[in-house]
Amino acid sequence: MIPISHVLIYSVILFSIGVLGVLIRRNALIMLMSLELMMNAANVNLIAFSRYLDNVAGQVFAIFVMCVAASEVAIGLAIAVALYRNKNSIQIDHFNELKG
Amino acid sequence: MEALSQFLSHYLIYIVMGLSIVTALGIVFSKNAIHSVIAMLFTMILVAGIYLLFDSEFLAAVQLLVYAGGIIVLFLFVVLLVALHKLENLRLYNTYSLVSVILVIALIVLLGATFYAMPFGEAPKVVHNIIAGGSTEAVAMTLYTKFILPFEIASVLLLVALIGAIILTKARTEQ
Repeated sequence: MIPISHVLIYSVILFSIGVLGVLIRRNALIMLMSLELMMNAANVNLIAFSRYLDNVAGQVFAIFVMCVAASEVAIGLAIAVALYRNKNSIQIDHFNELKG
Repeated sequence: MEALSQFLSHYLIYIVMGLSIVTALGIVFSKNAIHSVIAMLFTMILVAGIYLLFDSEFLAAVQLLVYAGGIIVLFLFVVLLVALHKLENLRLYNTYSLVSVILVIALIVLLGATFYAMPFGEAPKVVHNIIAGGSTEAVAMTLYTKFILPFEIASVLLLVALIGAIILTKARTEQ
């Protein structure tokens, strides 16, 4: 097996690409996809530690993370559709009603 | 033969990791949202391959079913629903992109150096609890005995998310 520090560095890179997507893109759907990427990076860590510590609990936690990710996507996409219906756009900086 | 399979399993994971980083960059930097969805599909499949290489067959199957089968299709529907072709002439990136890129590179360097310097032990050669070639039984045993309460709470969470999504997207008939 490869050293676990390599897996952790890979997962840092994957997570950072997700952070980059949330920070620089203006499209709300791409930002949701980047959130999914971050959750996947966390899952890779859980699975890798489950293998290296020989403990199944990491895999069970990964299942819960997937469950939360699925519900987050369902709600997030529903909100995106509702916003598109009201404002005819999903560019994130068009939603500035709360600006003081 | 043993040496060959050892070599292959050692370097295959680096290849899969590199490919998945490339496709993940494709999600963030592609101009067309459909291309982003397709890049995300490939990323999820490659991450499932990484799970497989870590002896987690059940999680790899769940990853393929939930992400590649469910979430990607949901994203595709919404991308087709919101008529992105009207937005093609707009700017793709925020004005503070350069600062974000510098911050993210700093994050990678900082966390990467920390993890690289950290003394983790050697990987075990043989795993007993995660039964190689059949981890489904081990996962199910843990999930339905030790983690039964979080499992039930997760089912309630999914039900609430389902109802909430239906209510949010339901067209208003009155008014």
